[in-house]
Amino acid sequence: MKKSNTQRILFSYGNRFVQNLRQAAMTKAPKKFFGDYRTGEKMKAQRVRRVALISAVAGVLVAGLISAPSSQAAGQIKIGYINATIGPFAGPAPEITKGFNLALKEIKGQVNGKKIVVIEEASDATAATALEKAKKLVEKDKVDIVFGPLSGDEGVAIANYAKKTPAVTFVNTASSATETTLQVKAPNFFRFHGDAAQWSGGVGPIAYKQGYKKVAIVADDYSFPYANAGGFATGFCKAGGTIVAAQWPALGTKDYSSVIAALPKDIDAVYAGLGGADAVQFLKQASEFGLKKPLIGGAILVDGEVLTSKAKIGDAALGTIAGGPVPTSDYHSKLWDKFVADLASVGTTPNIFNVLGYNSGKSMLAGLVAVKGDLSNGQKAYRAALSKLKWNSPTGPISMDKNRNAIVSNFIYQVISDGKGGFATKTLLKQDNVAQGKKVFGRVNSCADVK
Amino acid sequence: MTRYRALITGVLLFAIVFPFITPDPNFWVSSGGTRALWLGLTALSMSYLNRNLGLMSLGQLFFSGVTGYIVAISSVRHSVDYIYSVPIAILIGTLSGIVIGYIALKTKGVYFLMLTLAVTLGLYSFANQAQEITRGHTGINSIPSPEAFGIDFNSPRALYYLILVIAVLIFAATKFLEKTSFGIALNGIRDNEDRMVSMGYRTLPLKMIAFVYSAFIASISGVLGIWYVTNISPDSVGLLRSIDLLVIVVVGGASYLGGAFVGAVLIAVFEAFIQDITTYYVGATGILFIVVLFLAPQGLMGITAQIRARRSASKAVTK
Repeated sequence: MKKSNTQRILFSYGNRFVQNLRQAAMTKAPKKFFGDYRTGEKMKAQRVRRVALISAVAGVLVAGLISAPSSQAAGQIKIGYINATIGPFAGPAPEITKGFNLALKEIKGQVNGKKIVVIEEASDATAATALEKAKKLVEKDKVDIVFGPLSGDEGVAIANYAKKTPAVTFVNTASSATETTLQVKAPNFFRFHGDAAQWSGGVGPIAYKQGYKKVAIVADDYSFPYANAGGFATGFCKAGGTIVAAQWPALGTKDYSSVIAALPKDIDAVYAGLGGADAVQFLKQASEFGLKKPLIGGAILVDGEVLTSKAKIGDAALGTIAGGPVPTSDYHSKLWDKFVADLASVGTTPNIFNVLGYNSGKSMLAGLVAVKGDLSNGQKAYRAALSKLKWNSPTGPISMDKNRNAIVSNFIYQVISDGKGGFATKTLLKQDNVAQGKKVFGRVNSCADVK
Repeated sequence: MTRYRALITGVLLFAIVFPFITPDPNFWVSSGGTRALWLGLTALSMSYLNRNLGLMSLGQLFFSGVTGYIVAISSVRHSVDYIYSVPIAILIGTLSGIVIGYIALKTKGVYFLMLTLAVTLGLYSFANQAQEITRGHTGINSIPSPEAFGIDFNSPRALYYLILVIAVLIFAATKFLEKTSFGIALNGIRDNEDRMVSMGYRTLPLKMIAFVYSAFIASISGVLGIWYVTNISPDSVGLLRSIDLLVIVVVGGASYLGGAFVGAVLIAVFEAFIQDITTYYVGATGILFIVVLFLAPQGLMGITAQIRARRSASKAVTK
């Protein structure tokens, strides 16, 4: 058989390659090891110095390892706190800390004489980093409880890690993917707030009643907005509305002009499931381009944290309907008013992040108070106390379901002008005892996806 | 010869007894040792290309990512046994090096860098969007380590030794490959490709073999990586992780094979300490990078050469 030109070339190369390998295997190996292109006498002196250098580095490493703190002081409770202070949520992340600190202050940072030590680690809202930080807190700092994380996919990863780490209790701070509790079901993972589908479940029927029949979805492309949009679409489609289009730009998108341009003309409203810096950017561009359609917001689109930003989002944000765990400006109760005053004392106003930081932190600490700080016996008593925990939070009663996800109160609200050039929010509906649904949502592109 | 052997033996011995002598073995074996070896192995695939072909590739995470995703998708989501999924995934990851190498190796310098980076970012976007296959931004969680030969590699110590053995084997194989006439021909191409062509060498196939070999290393480290991290998501193959690798390679010394591991150990240990002190650890690592490059432009492995050069320069002056 005649060989083609390519075959011949390949064959000759293969042959030469194998020959080379064989030849090299038979000849004695040259001396140099830590590869350098230089050869000859200089190599020897260089090698000596290199040995010295590497020994020195190794010595420093060993010294560092030995001096690493490894003791666990008695009479304290260690809480490892993971917060996404790097990346897309760097803005709102410190708000969680403010809420958590209020809860810590209320018990004076100790339970039954045991001091509560908080070790904070920064994540960048990616699952891999959150996992790395959780491992570090558990393995190196030997914390009793892990408190975190912020973002949806981090939560899914940490709940999976919790399953493999039965000695430690995990309390979620703000991450709200449905999967975290509904599917992973780690027996030592607790979430004292609703998932994103719980927050937006009531928005759909109200939007339909406002006369929105056809809606297009624009939302960030990860688990939290999926759940958020899924909750909305479930109620909306059931009421009779239709989802006519959906776009899923990546988290951290800086330019929404093509997204806004691609919105269909014959829609009544746009559902915008964006948050943080993305929400501000979207609202700003929607204002600039004169987007005439009313908005329906995901839980963090028109959150206090966004509405108090300095960007020009006015025309777009006004009139937006949204749902979430945060009561509105016109809401009053004894506990809520005290909470708002406490927040004012640390220089902030209510938003979803400090509300969740406070409610989750307070729940975690209330469990500790209930067992008088006793974490012995594999934290059994503590976990039982958390599962049974029922308390009146500033935003309404909180209790746990069998998957350790909270049953909570929820608020459907509308953004209005406060008459001074800023924004206020008005409650349209307060829902009580909202429990988690039974479906984990992916991207919702039409009503068929939520049936 | 003896000194070189002593050094090798010393480093190896230290690596072998490390899990027994380190305080806090739960943390340091896994987040120190295993992490450094895994990062080092991935960085090795990068510095091999740079050292032997003078090409800096940011595409290594593409091969790691392809392999990692194939293993994770087939074994975690469709419960295919690791015996089948791992070799097939490594094979696909390695062979994808042929396609990408064929295109990328026609370019040089910054074009090569950008092309390989584009491939990595392409995988990032795909993994982010193809939700049905890759589970999108959430990624795939709870990836178990294998149980083989009666050993459960889910134990941190077992996984550490597995990665150590593989890293040593690959490092030795790479050293060996450099000494073959194939390796010498590569150095010829790196130094003057035109001359090699005029001497009758077909340079593209030689470069392809080197590129595919580096894809092979990256593929193996991709599998080890998902076992260590237990998760794979688009961020595992994104731009930031590629830059992290570049930092490791450059800090360790981009023209030394051992530099990959030296850089990885330095970064892993530095990050493990600095995160106790400040939550601005990314910035702190950046400062470390600048300081190292300011004092040792050739990386840590290049310090001795740097000192020697300075000495001979000062000698020349005194004469």
